[in-house]
Amino acid sequence: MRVLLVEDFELLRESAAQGLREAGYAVDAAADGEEGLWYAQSNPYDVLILDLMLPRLDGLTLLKKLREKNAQTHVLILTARDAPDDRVRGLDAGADDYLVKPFVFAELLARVRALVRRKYQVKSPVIRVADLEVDTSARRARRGGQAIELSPREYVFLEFLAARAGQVVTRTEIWDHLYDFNCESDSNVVDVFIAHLRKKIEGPGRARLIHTRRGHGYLLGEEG
Amino acid sequence: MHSVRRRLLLGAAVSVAAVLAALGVVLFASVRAWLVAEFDRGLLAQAQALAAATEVDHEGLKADFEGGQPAEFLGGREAQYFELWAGDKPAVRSASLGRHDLPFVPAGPRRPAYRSVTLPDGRPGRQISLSVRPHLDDKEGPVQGAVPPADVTLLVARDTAHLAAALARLSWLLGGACGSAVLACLGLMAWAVGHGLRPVSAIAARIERVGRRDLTDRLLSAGVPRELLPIVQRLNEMLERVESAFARERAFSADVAHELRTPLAGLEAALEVCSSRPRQPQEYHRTLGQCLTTVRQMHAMVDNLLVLARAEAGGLAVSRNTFSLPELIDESWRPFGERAAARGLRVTRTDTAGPITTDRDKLRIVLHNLFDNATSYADPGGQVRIELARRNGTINLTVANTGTRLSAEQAKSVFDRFWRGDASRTDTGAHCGLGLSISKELIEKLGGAIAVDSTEAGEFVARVTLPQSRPPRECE
Repeated sequence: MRVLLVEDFELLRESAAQGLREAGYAVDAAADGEEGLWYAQSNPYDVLILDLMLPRLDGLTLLKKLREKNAQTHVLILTARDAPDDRVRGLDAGADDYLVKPFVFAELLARVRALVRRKYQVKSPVIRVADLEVDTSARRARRGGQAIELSPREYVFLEFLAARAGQVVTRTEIWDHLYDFNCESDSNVVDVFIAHLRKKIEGPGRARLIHTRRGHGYLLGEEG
Repeated sequence: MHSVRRRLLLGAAVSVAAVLAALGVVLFASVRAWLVAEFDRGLLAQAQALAAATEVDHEGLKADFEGGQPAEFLGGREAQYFELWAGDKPAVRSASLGRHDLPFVPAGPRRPAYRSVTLPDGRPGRQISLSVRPHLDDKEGPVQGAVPPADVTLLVARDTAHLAAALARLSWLLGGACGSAVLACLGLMAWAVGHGLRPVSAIAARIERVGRRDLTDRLLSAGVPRELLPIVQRLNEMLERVESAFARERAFSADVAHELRTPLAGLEAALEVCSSRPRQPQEYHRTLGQCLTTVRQMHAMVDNLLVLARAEAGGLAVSRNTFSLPELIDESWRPFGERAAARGLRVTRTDTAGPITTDRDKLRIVLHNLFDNATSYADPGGQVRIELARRNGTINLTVANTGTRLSAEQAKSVFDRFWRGDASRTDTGAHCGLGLSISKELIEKLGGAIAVDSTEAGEFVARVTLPQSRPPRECE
């Protein structure tokens, strides 16, 4: 899942970005409102983490501009102002959630996960596809009751496919949602990860779950 | 506690009682004088009748009544008295006197004399002394003692019981009338005062309601009497000031919270993320370094807030030292030289020599803030200008930098706490927008002034004027 973080305080921006990356998210970070708006408009982010007091363009204006363009990104506002008025204004401007600084980082991660679930209209933190279980809160996968060892990147791939189970997911979509701007554009990378994932999930004696739709993309499901 | 109502009533009661009492006394005295005069007239008529009956015959001086002395002079409970004195000797007495004498009071040659006396039977009475000229009666023989005594005095006295009773009745009447008048006045006054004070009670009730919920309440001036209007207006002005002071304080607390929360959030996130898994030593080292920088920025901000709070509360002691200002400028500039060089800033300086006497440490804080702003906000490759001039015992210090243009509105708020050129805040942490507020407080404490403006060309200029030597008495 891809997250945009707009925050002007460097220490917070860098630490949060690092923490999110380590949690498996593709993260882009912007230090001011205008840069943030540019990023937000050029990519379909799953979650936008937005500070309100930003240089050049404040967070609320950024959010309004984004919503005017009908952007579907889920927005988590991050701010030091905690008066009810501020929260109301933030939510009314189109935010989905609100977190007051300072915060516990684990809570930020949990809220981001919740927003991702909402984005893919998954209510339960555990996604089930046939005998495959993807636990989005523990970030683990099991098949037929057996735990599958996955690297963080592999897990992210699986979670993205699982969130859209039964639908064809294109390479571009995978690229847009699982890679940040710093990654070299190379669609082979996607194929390589899918191959790794297949090996771990399907293995010998197990039914196929990841199907390739030639010319389109991939599909996670029992039978395509 | 004083009560206006009680004071008004008490004052009114005392005044009314005093006026009525004076009136009563005057009335009583005049009625009494009139009654006594009437009584005396009666006494005179009686005396004149007796005088007509006074004669001198062969037996000497006597009062000649047909058929003896009238009944009232014979004695009894309501006896009256007369006595004729020849010269200074009593000659004829009324039967009622027995062997007593009336106290002799000489009469005037023309006018009778009156006096209040105690009658022989102890009753209070009034007596007239009338000089009489008895006529001679020689029908029954030659008159003895040659000529009738030239100085025969007739004394007539009778009791004043009726007069006293009338006066007593009058005094009761007057006293009662005055008393009831005072009571009636008191009642009327109580009603009038209550009525008159009703607007005051109404305003008191309104004031009591104001500010219970919030400070935006105001007293309505409609229907307020003219005398109380200034009170209502002053109260409203006061409420206005209180409200804006509260709003300022609230905004300030919110600003402080914001300025401290963001770096705190950064620290918390950095430490939490860093400790979430084992890392390489250089990663720890980098995170610790970043955290330390943030903690130092927070430390500086808290120090600044403390200086500001002390300066505003007036609790900042000002000392006096005599030193060279150019040297202090050198010293204060040193930490910023590197930044200026890194940003390619051109720095120009003009100094005039000469000592200054003021608080060196406070001035250093001001210079630090001004240099920090100039080197931070100047455009890369721009210019920083530091000028020192001296005129008529005043020192003018100018610190200017290119690359900052202020609107007229912005120029007004540069000294506000937490104000920054960019309304949506730049450089959280590094600049918290307190420098100019603190500088202004300190410079004013030192007896100087600070002003800023910006030129069309985009040069931001801060001008400080300071007295060359601050008189010691103002240093407190």
